[in-house]
Amino acid sequence: MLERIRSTLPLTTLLWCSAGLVITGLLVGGAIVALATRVLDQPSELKIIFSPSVQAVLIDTLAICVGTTLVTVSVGFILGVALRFAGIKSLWLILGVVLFPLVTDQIIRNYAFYFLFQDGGVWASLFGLFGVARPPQILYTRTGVVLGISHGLLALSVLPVWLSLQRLSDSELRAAQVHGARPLHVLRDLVVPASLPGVVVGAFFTFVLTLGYYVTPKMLGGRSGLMIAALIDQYINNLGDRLGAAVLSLLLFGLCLPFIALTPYMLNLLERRT
Amino acid sequence: MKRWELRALKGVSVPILLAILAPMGVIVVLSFCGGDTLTFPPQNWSLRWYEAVLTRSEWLRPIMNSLQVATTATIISAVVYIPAGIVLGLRQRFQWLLGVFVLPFVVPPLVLAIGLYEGLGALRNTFWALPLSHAIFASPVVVLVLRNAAQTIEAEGLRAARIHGATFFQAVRGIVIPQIAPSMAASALIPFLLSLNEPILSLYLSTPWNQTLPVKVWSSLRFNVSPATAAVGTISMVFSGLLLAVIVRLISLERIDKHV
Repeated sequence: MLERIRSTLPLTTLLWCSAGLVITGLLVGGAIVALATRVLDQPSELKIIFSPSVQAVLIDTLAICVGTTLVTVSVGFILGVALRFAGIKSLWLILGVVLFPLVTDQIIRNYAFYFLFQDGGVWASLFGLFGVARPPQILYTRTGVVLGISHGLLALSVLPVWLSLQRLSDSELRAAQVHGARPLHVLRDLVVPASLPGVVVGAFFTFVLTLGYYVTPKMLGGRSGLMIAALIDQYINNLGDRLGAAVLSLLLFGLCLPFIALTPYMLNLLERRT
Repeated sequence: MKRWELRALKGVSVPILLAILAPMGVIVVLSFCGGDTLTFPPQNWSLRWYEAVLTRSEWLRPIMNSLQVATTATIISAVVYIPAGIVLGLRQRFQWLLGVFVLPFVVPPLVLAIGLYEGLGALRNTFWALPLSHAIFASPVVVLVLRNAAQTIEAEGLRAARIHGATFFQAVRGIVIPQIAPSMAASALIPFLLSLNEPILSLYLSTPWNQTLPVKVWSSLRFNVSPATAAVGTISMVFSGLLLAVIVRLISLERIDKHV
């Protein structure tokens, strides 16, 4: 009887997953295949990947990815630690604030950024109060895009750090304190190592999501948008060049492939709890 | 933790949290502008734009479309992906399938949008294209939430049920579902929330007659910015916030019961 139970379960697993697998596989696979067939019609178009404008945008994109990852990981670490040590009321508050940008419309969020930092806007007025005539330019710069994307993706770094810090039990911390450890030592020897899996996972997903980010560079990024996704959109809407857009989309997908491959490993990293 | 350490942590966190909320706060304030243009701070305060948004069909139609698409996407997502999430949480085998289910999260939405636009061809003008794409967009979260919830089920209960002759489905219905019901409810609300606010797939796959709200907001920001957009934004944010609160409450209710 036990043998029968064990042997039927794998089939059941696959059966229950089948609908999801079919739909996800068909739609995602179909999208990629459609792009590939478009490009294979005219493979010579692939050379635009090496054109100077595309190369420049690629470099900008990677720079923005690195910048966003650094910002979100740092802020994510701080808020993750705060969540770990917060009381019940603070926990809800912080969690609510952190998760809120995730569920608001990106377009509205970025418009608020645009409104704040536009010429003659709030940002300029703040500096005007202190007598500074020209405030540092945020709009249409890499910094602005980094800030905008970080604002949206922060939750993606905070949550993994908090999750992995939950492995750190209160008794461990108290033991360290009893043995006379200064807070800085506790931070260095207990908190930071415990948070590392969360930091790595957060950085991983922030990086890959920033690679494909679309709305923020389009609204805050200026002419080229500074990122691949905005450039792709320009090819479609401004140039009407669907073929070029398909090529660049495949390029973007290619850049994401290593991340796709590593995703199950990253998810595993978060699960390993002692 | 000693007093001053907690205070230091608070001192650093609070400005960060305020900075996160600031852009949203600006939109809320802007929605009360009495005039026709957006000025900060508003020169005269009024509710007229809320009234305009809730009565004019140019806004009501996208709102209705959004709700319709979101509901459809939720049904598809729930029916297709909840079983997958449960099963992946209960069994340790086939974990590699997770790699497939998480694909829509890691593949950039723009690539999906353009690929689907090319691939679906004429099909993209049907009603189902957009809800379907929203459903797979939300599916990774659904699968992960349910998998997480199902992992807390103890195997002995299931095995006991199977030994006594229950089929897998009966065992799940009797043992698993009562325990993870809050997570299931939450994972049904998640696609609804994500679909309402989804801009990219909607921009590429919607048609002029099933324009969803984010698309309408986008075009209004490009062509005629007015406090109406801020009003719609505020309504949308409040609604999303409430939904989020419900979802988080549901998930945490379950965790607290199990001391996870």
